Amino acid sequence: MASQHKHNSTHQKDNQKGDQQDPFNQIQNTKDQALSKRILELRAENYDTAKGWEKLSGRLPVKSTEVPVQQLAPPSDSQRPQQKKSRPLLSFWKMAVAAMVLLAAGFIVGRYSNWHKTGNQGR
Amino acid sequence: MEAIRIIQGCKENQPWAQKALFEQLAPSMIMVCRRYTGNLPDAEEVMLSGFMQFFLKIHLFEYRGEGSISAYLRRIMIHESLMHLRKQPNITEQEIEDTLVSEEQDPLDRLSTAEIMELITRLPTGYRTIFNLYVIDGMSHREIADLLHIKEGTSKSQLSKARRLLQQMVIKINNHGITT
Repeated sequence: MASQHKHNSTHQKDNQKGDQQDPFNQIQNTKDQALSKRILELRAENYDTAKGWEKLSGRLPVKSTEVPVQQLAPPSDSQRPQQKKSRPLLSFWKMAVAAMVLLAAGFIVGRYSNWHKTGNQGR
Repeated sequence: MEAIRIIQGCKENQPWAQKALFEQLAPSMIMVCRRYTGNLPDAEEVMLSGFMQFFLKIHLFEYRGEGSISAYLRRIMIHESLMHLRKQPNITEQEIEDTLVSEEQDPLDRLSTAEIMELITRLPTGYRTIFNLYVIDGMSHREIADLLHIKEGTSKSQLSKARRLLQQMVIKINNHGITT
């Protein structure tokens, strides 16, 4: 129904703009609409939908209900690259913090031993 | 089964719903594709590809009554068919010589729908595409011109030639009978 309405309106637009306002074209439009209706009602009743579905279902993605099961399972190979992306960044910060801690520890030990030496010499 | 339930099932990626929709609409959609491709093997491939697109992008579909499903699917099938035809060269160029045929009466009126369908599929690709888009699928010449990247005048002249060729084919059938 909707397509038939569209059929009328689009061809009316063509008719208003163009040179098709004569009775011949009006008759032609009516004939076209009738033909369109007849053709659109055609169905290939002998088409084997079971075979067609078999071909199509093989190409369709897997049912979505399997997703939660996959989420419960350990991360698959396809998920690993995402983790790999964040790994270098994380290890950089870990290294930086470790370096700062070591530097601070070295500084404190150095200061302490220095104070210890000078303290002993002073006595 | 209710169409809205089937669509809801398809949106949830449920195979039973996808199968139900396919079984319901495949016989009419393959006819849409056959009108454009002109043969059944290509039509089936194009139709399967169209259903794939529909199921993959079903979140974009808004249900507005039972007719909206077939109208939406038909648009996808037309688009897929045109994509298929674009792979073939010269789809809108003139492929046959013009011949004069009387326009006093429409010989198509005397044929059955199946016979008319058969004749449409026998039209050269360019004529067939424009005849289908304008006469059967109700597009305007401007829409066709935009879709096929041609001039509006080209669409009009191709349609006129397609009509004349169809009439010529009907006259031949009346004289010699339909040959397969």
